[in-house]
Amino acid sequence: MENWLSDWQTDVALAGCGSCDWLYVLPPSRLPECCPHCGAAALAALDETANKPVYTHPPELVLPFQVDSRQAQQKLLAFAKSAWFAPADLRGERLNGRLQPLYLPLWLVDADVQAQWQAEMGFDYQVVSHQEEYQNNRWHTRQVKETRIRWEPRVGTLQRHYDNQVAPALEEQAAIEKQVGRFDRQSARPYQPDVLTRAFARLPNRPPDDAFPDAQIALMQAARDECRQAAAANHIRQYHWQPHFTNTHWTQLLYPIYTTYYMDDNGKTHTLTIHGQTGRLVGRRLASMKKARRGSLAIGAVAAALFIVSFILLLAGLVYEVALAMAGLLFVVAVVTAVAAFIPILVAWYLNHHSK
Amino acid sequence: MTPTFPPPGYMRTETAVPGIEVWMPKPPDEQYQEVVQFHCPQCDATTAFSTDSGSLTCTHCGYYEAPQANLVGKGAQQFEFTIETMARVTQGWGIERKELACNRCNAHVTIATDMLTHSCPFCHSNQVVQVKAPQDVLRPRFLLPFQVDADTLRRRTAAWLGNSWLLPKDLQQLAHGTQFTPIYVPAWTFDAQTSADWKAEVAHTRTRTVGIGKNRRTQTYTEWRWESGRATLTFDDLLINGASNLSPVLLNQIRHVDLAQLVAYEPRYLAGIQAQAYDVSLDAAWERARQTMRAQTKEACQRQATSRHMRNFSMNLDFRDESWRYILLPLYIAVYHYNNQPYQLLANGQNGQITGQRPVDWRKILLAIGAAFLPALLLGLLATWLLVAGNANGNVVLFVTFGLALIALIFTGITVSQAQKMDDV
Ligand SMILES: [Zn+2]
Ligand SMILES: [Zn+2]
Ligand SMILES: [Zn+2]
Repeated sequence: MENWLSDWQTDVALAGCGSCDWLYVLPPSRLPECCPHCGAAALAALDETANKPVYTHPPELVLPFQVDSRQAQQKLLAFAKSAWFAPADLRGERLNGRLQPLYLPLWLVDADVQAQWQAEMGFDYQVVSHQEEYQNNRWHTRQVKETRIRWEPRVGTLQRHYDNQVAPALEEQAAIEKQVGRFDRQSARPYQPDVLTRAFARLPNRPPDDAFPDAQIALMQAARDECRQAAAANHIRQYHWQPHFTNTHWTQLLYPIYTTYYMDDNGKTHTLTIHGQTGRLVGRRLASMKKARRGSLAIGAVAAALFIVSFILLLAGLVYEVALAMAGLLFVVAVVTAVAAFIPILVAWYLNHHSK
Repeated sequence: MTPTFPPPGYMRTETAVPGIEVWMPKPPDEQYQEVVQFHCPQCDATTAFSTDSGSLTCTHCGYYEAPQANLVGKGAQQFEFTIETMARVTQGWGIERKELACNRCNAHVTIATDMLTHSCPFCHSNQVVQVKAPQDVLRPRFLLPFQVDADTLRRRTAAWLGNSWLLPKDLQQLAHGTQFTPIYVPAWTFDAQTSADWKAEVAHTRTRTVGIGKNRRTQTYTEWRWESGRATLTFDDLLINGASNLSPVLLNQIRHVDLAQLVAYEPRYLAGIQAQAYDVSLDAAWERARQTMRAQTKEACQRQATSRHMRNFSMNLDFRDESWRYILLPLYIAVYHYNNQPYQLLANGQNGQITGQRPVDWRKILLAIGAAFLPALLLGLLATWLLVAGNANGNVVLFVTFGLALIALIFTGITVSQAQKMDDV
């Protein structure tokens, strides 16, 4: 079991990021300099026996990419093009060059559950109520129907099998799901080694033991909903159970994303992520304050030049009266231009503070 | 989680998912017995029970069973106006009649279903016969037990019959022979909260000074100002009579009952007592209750205005937390005869309040009126005589005569109206 990488049935290597601690299984020929997660130039090959991760087994299921890299690149080009005062590094070609397909792990838990449970079940029922209106010395009565919930206690036993209850395999799972979104697990396929010819796979940092409490929550929610159905209730609350799990089976599922990154003026890395199924791109589109300032300066210089010309015309106006009118007109244009000079800085500031 | 499974008092119920068992609390035991016989544990008589304040007393052998009232009081369960209830209610009780067999003499009798209990007209057996209501929810669930016995009532009746000089002297003796028949009469109680938003133009009297110089004067005028507000009222156990054949005037006089004495309905309470089913349906009674509630809410709204003088009053009222109860109230009915004329008495079975018709002795009244006018008549004659004789005091006597006649007139009015009240209700 020393050479656990051979279980992956293809030529893969282990790499780790010194900055964010993510561990990847990847094709050895494709080891990049920068981490596809945090963008730090701290990715290094690791010795698989000396740095054995907490969980090393290859996945059983994979959700294939439904957005190919060409579509992803087009998205990135459009993203870069539409950026205002984009930092020098936020360029379509650069983003595309750094585009990295990446698989992230998720647990699917199957289990037989035996439990005693208790809950309050809510049953909808309707009541007849009345509203009355008094106007012009007369009453007008209106009958209205209102839906109310009758809560009744129920207890029971449960003996069920649950499949594919989701549990996180990464500490960061909740944050990733919040940012990237959910994945459709219908298209899952058995793991084939060729999925790793280009893509990286992130290794779980939460092994089954660690993720089991989260799996129990998912199992309880499934059981809770089934108990509600069993009692033919419309609502359920205060669900408590004493479960006993047997035949627990864990399946590692990989789901697909693309990552890339760019650096802002200060050299700070910003990651962009593309959902591998829907193609949705998430990440911050920052504006370069440096560029914006340059733009403002350029407009400011034009304004200054206009001021000077209008001043010269003013002097000329002492001789030729026509020049006075032109001087006034130019002065107005100069003022408007001076005000406009602030626009690039303001726009960049606004973008950086209101883009997510 | 309960350590024992299933917890006591739970029963298994239907499940829609295989592998999941569902248990629910057992509904309270409500075995509905159509016919209940009360056997005296001492002499085994089945017919000789009388009921006072929830206890059972065998009138045959004197066996007494202490009351075992399940006192629920005002906390007695209330029901909501669910769609199902209202749908059932509108189907009505109907006027169906039902055939019953007497378990003692085998007589077959047909009775209207509006009697919940019935004593066999042939052998007077006191079997309690309950007519199964077509709607389970509209059976009486609570009742006020009788707390006054017939003897007490007879004493009270004697006093009541003798408490006015307008009544014949021999009336009081009749009280001792009066038969008081206990009967449970139906009633509805309603709870609700009303909240209403109102607005109206309210009149304010203002004064202003007009004119100049000598014509300067103050004038009053009305200024209309819009006012608005919100009133919230809570109604607790508004009582509506459930029987249409009882005189509402008489009932009104003895309607004050203490609902804190409500007990859970048990057939035992109906042993030997007739009970009447409602014929004022739930929705009809609820409509009457709502009318009372909305009128009171309107009154509360109008009291909020700074003046009672207003116009264009309008309000929007919303009912909330509506609930109802169907209960039985204890009542005694008695009929006594005086000069071959029947007179009806009603008594509140809880507090013994009595109301009813009393034969007024009109001869007594005529005599009294005559006696009242007599001084005026005599003085009138005296005044005439004095005036004819040219005596100056005649005028004074005439004034006194008018005064006395006026007093007699007032006395007559009061007496006749009182007598009327006693006589025909
Ligand atoms: Zn990293
Ligand atoms: Zn007996
Ligand atoms: Zn009989």
